[in-house]
Amino acid sequence: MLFGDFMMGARSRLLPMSIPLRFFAAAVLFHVAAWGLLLGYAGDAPGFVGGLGHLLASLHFVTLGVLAMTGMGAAFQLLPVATKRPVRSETACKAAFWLMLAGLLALGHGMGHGDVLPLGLGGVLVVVALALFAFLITDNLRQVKDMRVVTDQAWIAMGGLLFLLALASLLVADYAFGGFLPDHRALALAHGVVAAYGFMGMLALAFSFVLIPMFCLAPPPDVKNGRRAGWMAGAAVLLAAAGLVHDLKPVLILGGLLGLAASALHLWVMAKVMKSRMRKNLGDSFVLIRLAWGLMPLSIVVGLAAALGFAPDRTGPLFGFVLVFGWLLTFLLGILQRILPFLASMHSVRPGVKPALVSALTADRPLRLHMILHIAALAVVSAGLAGQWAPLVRLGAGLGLLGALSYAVSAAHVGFSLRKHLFQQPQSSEK
Amino acid sequence: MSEILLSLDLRPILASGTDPLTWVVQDAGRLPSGGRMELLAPFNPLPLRRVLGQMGFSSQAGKQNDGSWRVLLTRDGKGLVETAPGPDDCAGLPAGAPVWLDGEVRHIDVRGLAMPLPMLAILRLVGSLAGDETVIVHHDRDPVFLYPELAEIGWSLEPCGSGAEGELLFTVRRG
Repeated sequence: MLFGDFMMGARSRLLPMSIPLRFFAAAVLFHVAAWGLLLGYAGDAPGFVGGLGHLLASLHFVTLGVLAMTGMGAAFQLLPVATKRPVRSETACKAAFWLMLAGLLALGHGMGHGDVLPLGLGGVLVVVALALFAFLITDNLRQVKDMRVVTDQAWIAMGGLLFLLALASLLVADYAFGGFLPDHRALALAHGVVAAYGFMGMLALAFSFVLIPMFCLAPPPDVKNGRRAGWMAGAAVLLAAAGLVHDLKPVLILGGLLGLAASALHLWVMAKVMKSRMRKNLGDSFVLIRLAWGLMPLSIVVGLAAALGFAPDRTGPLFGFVLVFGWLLTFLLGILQRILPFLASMHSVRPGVKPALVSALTADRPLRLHMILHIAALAVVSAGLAGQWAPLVRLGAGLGLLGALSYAVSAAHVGFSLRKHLFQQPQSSEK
Repeated sequence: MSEILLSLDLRPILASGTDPLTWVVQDAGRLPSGGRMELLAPFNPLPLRRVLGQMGFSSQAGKQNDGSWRVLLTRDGKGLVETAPGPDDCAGLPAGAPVWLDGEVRHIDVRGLAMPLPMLAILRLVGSLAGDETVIVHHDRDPVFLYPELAEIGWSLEPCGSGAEGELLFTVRRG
């Protein structure tokens, strides 16, 4: 095999930049929309127990629009590099994006306005998009024999995704065909737990094992305990979902406690990685990541409090907020603010041409502003939900929206800086 | 303890610039379960030991009085690689990625290392160099994550060739 051919093979694992970037760009916009909806309908937030409305749309803009979109873009980009196997089809990746985007817009409209037709149509499109994503990822994972800790958690995440798609389909069908489910709310809660902890949470755990050592330049994490944490978390999600669906409180609590143990083990593994790191100054992104790590077990504690009946009108909505906007969104924003300029720099590599510097692609001030506003928003909205005071929720959502806009400015800076760098470099031929 | 069924001296092969990986793997593959073999090398051949570890060989390495390394391998199905880096085995580098000088050029072999150890080993080596040295990296993949990291500290990475069994060579230099 010629050297050039081999290198082309190696590079072909890196998808064209436009594929991951479209997912990230959509995530940035849905981030703004989610905070915007929470601001607009903050009055409904205290005591929110689910059901159709703009708050449900806001929640799904975070889970599907920001978390799933970013997870898809990052998985399509990073997994083939880590597993040394290319994604089966670039067209399928693009199709998954457009299906997801169209589905999510229709779903958000249907949820917000209680309109069953766009709700059903959007639900079907999102299910197809995520099923396509699951197929592409499992196809890539299937032949990987090493990297057990990453592949274990990615497999559990894919199992969680299929489970959540089944539950979501049932919920949408229940709205569309006139309420055949005996307990819609219980199934909706189980769907939320499976989606947040079983799919997105597991994906976050899997990415942590690749990205955290890479960002802080540390040796690979403890595989044995990492795998243990993954399987414990998977079992915890199953128990919690079973407890919710069958109204078995002891099973639900057992699931919560097992989830706490799994998160403690995962954090212990991550703490060991951080301790052995080579890069000492980790920047603002790790402020968010560390905060998210703290919010992960806190979300379970608040969820357990709600399950045990401690002021459920306050702890119930607080659980959903700490879980989705707290642990998952904060973690993802920390990762995204680091990975976006890094991936852009990676894609600027050309033979004989210097890549764009990560530091030049990073907009420090908007990112710092976003970090401050995001943390303030979490604290203020949480206080509003705990105190059942809508004006405080509104104020917090306003801070979150400003933070999201600031984040969008930093993302745009990456795009413009990369474009400028590529245009300034002379065209070069392969050596 | 069973007798050593196979003894391979890799020093003349490595001195001639040939990668002995394919040859060793083929010979080792013929050993029965429980069989033992020894390797003699100018450095601790960790990437090779890891490859053989995936074939079920546990290995122990020790430095000889003449400066060479003797590796004892047993096909016990466990694939344990006991690592005890010595001064010639790039002490201080994670997982002991071998580093050696070939004339004026420094080489580092990061094949077989789990992510992100290759990146760590290369960044540490580059960080320890005082002048404008050139380093040849022996890798088993295109290290796409390494380009931005090196660029940020004023170094660059460029492909410069390929070897047997999917080995890729890269030049790392300042600027």
